[in-house]
Amino acid sequence: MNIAIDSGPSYGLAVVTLDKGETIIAESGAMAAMSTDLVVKPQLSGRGKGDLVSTLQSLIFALARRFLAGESVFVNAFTAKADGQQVMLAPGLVGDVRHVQLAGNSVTVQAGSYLGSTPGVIVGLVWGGFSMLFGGEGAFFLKCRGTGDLLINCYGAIEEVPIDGKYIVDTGHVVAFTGDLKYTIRRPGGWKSMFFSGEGLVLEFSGQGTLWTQTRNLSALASWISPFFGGK
Amino acid sequence: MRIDVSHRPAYAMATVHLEPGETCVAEAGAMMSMETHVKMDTSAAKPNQGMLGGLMSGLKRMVAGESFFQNRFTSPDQPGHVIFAPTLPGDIATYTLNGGGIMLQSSAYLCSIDTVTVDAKWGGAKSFFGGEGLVMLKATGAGLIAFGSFGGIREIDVDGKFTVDTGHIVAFEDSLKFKVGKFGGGWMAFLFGGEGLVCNFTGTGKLWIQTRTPQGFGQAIAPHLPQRRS
Repeated sequence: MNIAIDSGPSYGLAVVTLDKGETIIAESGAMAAMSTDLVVKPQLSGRGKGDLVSTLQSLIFALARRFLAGESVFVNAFTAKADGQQVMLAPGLVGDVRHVQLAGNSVTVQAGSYLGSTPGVIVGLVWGGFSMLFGGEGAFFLKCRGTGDLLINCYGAIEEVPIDGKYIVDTGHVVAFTGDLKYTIRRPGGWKSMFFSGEGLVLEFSGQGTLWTQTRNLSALASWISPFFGGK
Repeated sequence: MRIDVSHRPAYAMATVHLEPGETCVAEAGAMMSMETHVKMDTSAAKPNQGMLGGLMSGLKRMVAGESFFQNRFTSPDQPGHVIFAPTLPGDIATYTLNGGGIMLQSSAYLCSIDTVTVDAKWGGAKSFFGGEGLVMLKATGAGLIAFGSFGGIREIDVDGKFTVDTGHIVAFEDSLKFKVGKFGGGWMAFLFGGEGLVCNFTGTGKLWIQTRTPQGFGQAIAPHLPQRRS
């Protein structure tokens, strides 16, 4: 399998080249173009062993993912029937796409930033904490763990930040972070700066790992553009 | 005529360099800047076309989602340049026609030399449904044409078969045959795959896709915007 990112950072496109038998799973609606020697199978976004219990579990997970994290119920699995088959994946939002490799570790991804993954990566839903409800970005994260390739997308460009110690990020600029990082949600300064600094809430990360941030904030775009649509 | 494309892929613009006496035709509203000795003329008709013919050409363009009027830029007695910018943020690609033809998604057309003919082409029932309209543009003749996209443009050499989401098509050489079909080839993938209809191309030729779609962007940003007041 080969994954190349094209047209970044403005309009990143993931070009996935598969050999016979290899599979890439992608967010519903992400396929822009593809070769024809591929089998396409829609499946529930959280997959189990295939028995009744795990099917019910994945159905509940898929519905939770839909309503709590704003992701789709179904994802599509593309499996190559011959060598050199291509699938091109494009997110809806403008911005970059990043390829992250997992080797038994986990990466937590902000809802809406998941684009695709290989079957060895298990995607689950995690509660981000009550305060995330006020961050405007959704209170749930997707937790991706296992071994394989993960594709994430964002609004704006992606800035990768190696963390060793502590680091602060605005809630609207978080894309993903490795599972060994801990975080707390807090005010960026005192109460006065909470109301007047225009920064809202921030995440304070601690530990050692990698953090991916986005150079633009979707909520900020929405509130800037809203008056032109007759909104608040 | 020569076209330089700069500021790719996010906010591309096309600088058209005209030789003395050459004429470039462009979509209404696309002109961004030009040298003062370049003359602009606005008309719905092609040269040597009467008023009725011009009306028909304009109406056909409107049906295809283009403008009724088109602008013609000529640099009469010295070289000159005109710069064109599409409406949407995205990329621009150029192509030199040489006897063959290319099909364009209706809003992709930006500009062309006047030896290129651009006509609305009814795609028929087999044509696009993915919000792209049933009418495409067909460019034939000889010379340069430029077209724009929402997002980046990726050129694909098709030899055999290739499938593209209808919303991601920008243009393709008319040596390629196409058929609109269900994504994944079956009802399951069509209904639950979230892709809707796709375009299945066969043959040999070039194909240009855009790495974003206005519809996809709209769906991604809509939940963050206030409800539309009616």
